[in-house]
Amino acid sequence: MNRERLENLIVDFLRIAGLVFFIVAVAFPFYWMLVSSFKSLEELLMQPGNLWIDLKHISFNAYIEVLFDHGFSRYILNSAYVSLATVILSVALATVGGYAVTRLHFRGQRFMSAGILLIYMFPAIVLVIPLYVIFAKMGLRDSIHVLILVYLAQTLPVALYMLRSYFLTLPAEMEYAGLIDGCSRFGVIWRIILPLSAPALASVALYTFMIAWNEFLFAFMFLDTPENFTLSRGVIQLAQSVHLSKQLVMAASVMVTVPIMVLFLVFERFLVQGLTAGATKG
Amino acid sequence: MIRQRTFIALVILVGLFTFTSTALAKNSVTFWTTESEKDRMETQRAIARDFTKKTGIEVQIVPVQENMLAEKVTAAFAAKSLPDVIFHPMEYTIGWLEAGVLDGAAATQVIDDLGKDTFGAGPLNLARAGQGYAAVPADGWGQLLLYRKDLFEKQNLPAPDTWDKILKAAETLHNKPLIWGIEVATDPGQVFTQQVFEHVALSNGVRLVDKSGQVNLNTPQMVAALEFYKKLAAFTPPGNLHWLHTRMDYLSGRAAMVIWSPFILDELSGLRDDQPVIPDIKAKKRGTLAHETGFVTVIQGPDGQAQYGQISYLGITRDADKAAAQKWVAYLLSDGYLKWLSMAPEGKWPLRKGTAASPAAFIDGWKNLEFGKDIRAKISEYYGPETVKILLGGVDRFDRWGFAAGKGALVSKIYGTKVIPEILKRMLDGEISPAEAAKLMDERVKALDK
Amino acid sequence: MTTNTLSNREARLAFWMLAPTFFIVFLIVIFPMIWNVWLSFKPVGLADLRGASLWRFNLTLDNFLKVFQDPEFVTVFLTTIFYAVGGSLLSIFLGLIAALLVNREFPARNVVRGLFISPYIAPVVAVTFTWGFILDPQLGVINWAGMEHGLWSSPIPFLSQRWFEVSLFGVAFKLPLALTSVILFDGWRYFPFAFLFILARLQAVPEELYQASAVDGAGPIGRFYHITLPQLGTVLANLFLFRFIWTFNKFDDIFLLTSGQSGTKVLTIKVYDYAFGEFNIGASSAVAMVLFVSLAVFLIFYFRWIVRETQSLL
Repeated sequence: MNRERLENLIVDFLRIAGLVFFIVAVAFPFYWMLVSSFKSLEELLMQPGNLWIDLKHISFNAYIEVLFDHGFSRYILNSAYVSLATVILSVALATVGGYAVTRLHFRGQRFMSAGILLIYMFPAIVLVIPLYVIFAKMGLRDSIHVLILVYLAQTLPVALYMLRSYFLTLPAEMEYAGLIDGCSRFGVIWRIILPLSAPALASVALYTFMIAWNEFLFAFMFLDTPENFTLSRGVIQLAQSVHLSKQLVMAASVMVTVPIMVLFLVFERFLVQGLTAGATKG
Repeated sequence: MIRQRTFIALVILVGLFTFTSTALAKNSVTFWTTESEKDRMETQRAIARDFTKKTGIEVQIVPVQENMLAEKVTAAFAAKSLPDVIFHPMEYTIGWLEAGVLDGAAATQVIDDLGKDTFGAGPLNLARAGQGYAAVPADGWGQLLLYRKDLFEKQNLPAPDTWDKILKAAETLHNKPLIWGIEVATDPGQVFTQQVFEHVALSNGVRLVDKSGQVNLNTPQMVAALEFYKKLAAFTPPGNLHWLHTRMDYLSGRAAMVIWSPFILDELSGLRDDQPVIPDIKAKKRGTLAHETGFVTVIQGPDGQAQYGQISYLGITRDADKAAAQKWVAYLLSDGYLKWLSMAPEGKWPLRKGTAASPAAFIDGWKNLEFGKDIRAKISEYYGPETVKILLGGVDRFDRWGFAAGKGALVSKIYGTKVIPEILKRMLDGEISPAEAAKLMDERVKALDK
Repeated sequence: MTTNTLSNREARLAFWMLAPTFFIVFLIVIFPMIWNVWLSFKPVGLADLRGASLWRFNLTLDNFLKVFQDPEFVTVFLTTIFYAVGGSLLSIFLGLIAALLVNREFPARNVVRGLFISPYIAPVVAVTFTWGFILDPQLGVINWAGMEHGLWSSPIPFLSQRWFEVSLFGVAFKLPLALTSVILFDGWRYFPFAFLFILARLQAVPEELYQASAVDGAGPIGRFYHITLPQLGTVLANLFLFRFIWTFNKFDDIFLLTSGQSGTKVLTIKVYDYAFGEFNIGASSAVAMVLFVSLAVFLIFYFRWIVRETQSLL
């Protein structure tokens, strides 16, 4: 056995061991979240080490309680509304804006891409307190529509950047053909750019949805009335309540996690493409 | 473009709606309450309905989680949209008065109308502000040390009402992991830890402010209290324990002593199905553990004796419709008082003793209130008149850091930043000595006072 | 001289197309930043939130004095740096390993790749509460398993104890337990980000390079060291930059895992504590400024260093 074969064998062994380790480390918390949500509180207290569910004792009580006694049926609607509104507006504005930055010539165009990403570096916590004060004084704080505005501000820069990267790869001749035929710029966007950009748009939509759906800090700071809560806000409300029941928090966590996971699984390819759009250029 | 316009229109609409809906609320009272559980909300709405029948004023009951109260009030204060009345724990009362959130004059007027003497002297004193009061005392409780009478008797141990007796009992009965000698709070992120520690510290005469009116926590009494607490923590399970764990352990029979608020009385009684009491289950009789539990209110340390008291007040805000707000507060403390206390009588002790006509009306009425969730029983019947006497006996002598000494606002910051539990935990972990901890607490609290 | 030239029309159109985005970003990002600078130089307590006191020119340095004189300021600052560096390095390291593992073809590779991204896309509330539960001293499965199998005798409070005595190879030292746990969580949650970028870069490496080196007799380790790593240089540097910035600015994760207790207090938590623990918005804004300026200084040094490095390579 020469050195290379030995190295290869070791590397193969390490590769398999490594894969197993990573798979377990990544999947276990999600598995635990799911399994715990189907157990009763006594089970969780008495048998903290039980890795399996006793199928005979599987209980949906946690979900029923969380949905109907703790208002989560409302929170799901709020989160869906906020996320979808953010996605629609973000895609619309980023498409139009991304097109402008790519195809139109104006002063400061080159500054755009650097400027856009610079804004993305601002810490959210630095923005939260002043926004809190301003919106509180205007009485606009406890509103999901304000959240939509905030999420747009968080996603637009990156969405614009992603679409711009993609638009740069589209040949400009087709648009010129459209313009010559008498289309307005918006017509060009609607009829030519959009259909060609489906993968990039899907990436942007997915990315934006993820940010809006998962967001915690602003939801926590701005929302007071349970009617207005998003899922993230609802989960922490549940976790901080007086009668702490871990299985309820786990059930609520599952409810927040599943939609984004499902969406991701279905559109995985697009997200990966979108996130790494600029990476292969070195 | 069209979508944008719709969106901007939406934002404006929302703003208008918020504005008008607050402007339209006339001749009604907005009441923020920390009693946000479903059944307690029902009771409050019932009181409100009776009030509306009597006066024609509508009351909107808004639940607020206690840990979000400060933020919510801050935001409403900035927006000039405070509610009319806020039911809140005393940590905030003086701070809010000084910041201009509360209207002390309105509250003082209510107290005068109802009769100053009908209230317990202690609770009124703690809310004193200038010539009047910051808010109206509503209800409160004194912290208890619960102990297993049966285990104590078996070992011939006396009731643990002094430091020595507590320590000796903890040592004797400690048998981990079957039973822990005493469970004190150790979670640095919980107000509960401050409450338990302050209870112990107060019992040694530790005060926030010394005789000259200066903040001074770096005293020999404080160092002694810290050392004592560390000794107690040796008999407590490791990790960050707060009310959830210590209650759970006592009710499972895994703790010989525990310091807790009297809110534990309903779970202890075994009358709640969602809180299993293991000794009851083993003996197949509800109330087994309850009858084997003894209560200590005032603990005596080497340099003092005290009981930690928590009081909740009804504050009238500066944005309030004064007359309506005052009527609601007065109603809550007269016709609606017993119903108010009935929400959780074990933790809501009457701070207004009675009316001018019958001076002990509310105390007597309270004794007959029922507690418990799935099965109801009267406190006086279940725990006996002796226990009730012990419990209510200390109300006038409830003690707290800083309040009677005019440092109420500083207390809000101490509770808000949880600086004491943080330093306490570091000492318990062995990172700093008790002497260093006392010095650090003194420094940090002084920094907060600037 | 026509003003309605094509270029002018284009510029105007571009303006309108970008206007809504500008407006929103200005309102939510730029304006609060400026406002934060303003607030950091004014005394702003609870009472000042009402009325016109916010507009007065009563500027003062008191907030910054308070922040710098705070007994725990230095600790918090160092903790923030330690957390940012540790979290970034760990997540990139794990991402690199994961990318190397997935680089070759094997059955169900797409599934595995999809699985590896889950920690990053799952909602922060869900993963933090789940991990908090798993690591709980009384109720958590890790402590239960550790004690069952005799690895340790009393529960280890991973997220709630500041220091932990450890002896490695006969050397005893104090491990910052809660901070380490939080950094490990950071590595778990954010390695997918590095994983994706590194994987994309790996797959763009031309196969010929590997084949050539195989002909030269290089084993897998040699191939990694001499071909893969240099190709990844830029990606790794960029990843560290991004991750450092984002970890430096992180609030949610630590707030939800430990509330900043037990040695995990970072600058962002201090911002929150000043605002809602002490009701001192002025000090809160001052800390936020310190955070932002520190980051800016780091970036300046980093770019200077990068420029020097690339110049020396040329």
